[in-house]
Amino acid sequence: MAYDPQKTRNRPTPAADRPAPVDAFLDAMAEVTVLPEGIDIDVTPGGDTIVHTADADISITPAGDDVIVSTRDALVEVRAELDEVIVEAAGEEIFIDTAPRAPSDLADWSNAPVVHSDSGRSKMTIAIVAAVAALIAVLVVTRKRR
Amino acid sequence: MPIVAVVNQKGGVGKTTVTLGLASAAANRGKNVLVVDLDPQANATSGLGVWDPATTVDIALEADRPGSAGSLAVPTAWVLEGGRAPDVLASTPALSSREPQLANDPVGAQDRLQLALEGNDYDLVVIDCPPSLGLLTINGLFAADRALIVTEPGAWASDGVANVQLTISRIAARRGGRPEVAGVAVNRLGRTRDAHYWHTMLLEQYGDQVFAPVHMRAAVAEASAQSLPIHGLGTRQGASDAAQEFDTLLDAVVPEMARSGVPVSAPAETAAIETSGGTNGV
Ligand SMILES: Nc1ncnc2c1ncn2[C@@H]1O[C@H](COP(=O)(O)OP(=O)(O)O)[C@@H](O)[C@H]1O
Ligand SMILES: [Mg+2]
Repeated sequence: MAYDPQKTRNRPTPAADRPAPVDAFLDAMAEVTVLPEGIDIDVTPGGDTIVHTADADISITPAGDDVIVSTRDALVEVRAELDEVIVEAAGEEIFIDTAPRAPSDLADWSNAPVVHSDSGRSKMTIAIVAAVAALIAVLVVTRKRR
Repeated sequence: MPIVAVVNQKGGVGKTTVTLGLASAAANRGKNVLVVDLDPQANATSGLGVWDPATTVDIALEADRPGSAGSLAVPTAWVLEGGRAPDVLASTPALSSREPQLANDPVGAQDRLQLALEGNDYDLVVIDCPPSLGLLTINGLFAADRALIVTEPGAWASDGVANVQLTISRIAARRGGRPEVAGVAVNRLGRTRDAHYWHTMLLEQYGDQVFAPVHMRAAVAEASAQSLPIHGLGTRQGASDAAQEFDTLLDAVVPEMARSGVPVSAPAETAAIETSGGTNGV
C-alpha cells in the first residue's frame, strides 16, 4: 500500500499474557467468593437469603430486617421492625421486647418471669448460644455471598 | 436471550451509535428489545427519547436483586411503523458515583447487572458500555453472552481492539468462555485515504472477526440527535443505507435473529465496499 502513515514503523502486537487492568477486579473476586466448607447459600424467588450451615439454617429478608435462625434445638427470630426477638427452645416460646424503653419500665422488665424451669434454662442457654454463634457466622458470610 | 455488550474503552468511536443502530434494526423486526445504558453520560438514554426516567440502571446496580431489570426498565419514545418500541434500563449522571462505590465492595460488585437481567425475557438485550474498562464495563461484560467491539478506522484502533480483547478473554477464562467476542464493528468509515488504510490494517490483523463496516453518514448522527431510530428516518438521504448496514450487522452479531432468506454477510466483502458507500450525506 502506497499510503503509509506509520512509515513502516508498525507497533509490535502486544503479548496476550501481559497484565490487564481487569485482573485486579477478577483477583479480588477469586479471593472472596469461596464459601467456607459446609456452608451453602440459597436465594429464594422472594429475595430471602437462606444460609445453611451444619448447625443452623438462617434466613434473612431482602432488607435484612427479619432474621430467623433455626437450629435443631432452637429457633430465634429477630424482628427488627417490630422491636422483638422470639426465642423458641426446649418447648418454650419467649418474646423479648427490644423496643427502647423509659427508665421506669426497666424495673418491670427485669422482674418478668421469662424462664420457667432450671433444666429448661440450661438447655435453652446452649440452644441460644448455638443460634447466636450461627447468626454471627452468617453475618460474616453474607458479606461474602455469591 | 442474546445479550450483547457493546464495548471499547476509547470514547467517541460509536458504541452508543452502534447500540442504537442494533436496537433499531431488531425493534424494526418487531423484536422485544432492551437497551441497557451503562454510560453515565446517558447518550443512549437520550437517543431513545427518554428524559428524567423514573427508574434507572443505577437502582438496579444498587439493589443487587435478581431480575430487577424488568421492573426498572422504562419504555422508550421511539416509534417504528410495524415494529415495537424498545425498553431502556436508563442511565443517569448519578451512575458516575456508583462505580467508586462498587469498587469499595469488590465482593459481588462485578455481576450485579447479570443478576438484574436474570429471569427476564427479551428477544435481545444490547448493553452500551462507558468508555473505560472499570466496574461498569465489567458489569456489562459479566452480563453479556457476547461482546461486540466497536472501533473507528484510525490510528491506535488496533491497539484499542487488542486491549478490549484482552479484558474479555480474562473474564471469559474465569467464566466458562462467557462472553464470546462476537467480532469487531468498524464504524464511521469515511472516504479518506487514512480511513481506508486503518480499515485495511484492522482487516489484516483481525481477519474475519471484522464485520462489514458502518459508514460515516450525516443521517446516522442526525437520528441520534433527534432521538429517532435510524429505521424511522424515512426518506432522509443516507438513512436507508445506514439502516441496511445495521440490519447486516445485527444478522452477523445475533445470527439467531437473522432475517430468513438473507444470508449472513460474509466479512470478506468489507475491503471491497470502500468505494461503494460512505459518500451519502456527508
Ligand atoms: N456512522 C456514523 N456516521 C456519522 N456520525 C457518527 C457515526 N457513528 C458515530 N457518529 C457520531 O460520532 C460521535 C461519537 O459517537 P458515539 O456513538 O457517541 O461514540 P461512543 O458511544 O463510543 O462514545 C457522535 O456524535 C455520533 O453521532
Ligand atoms: Mg457512548
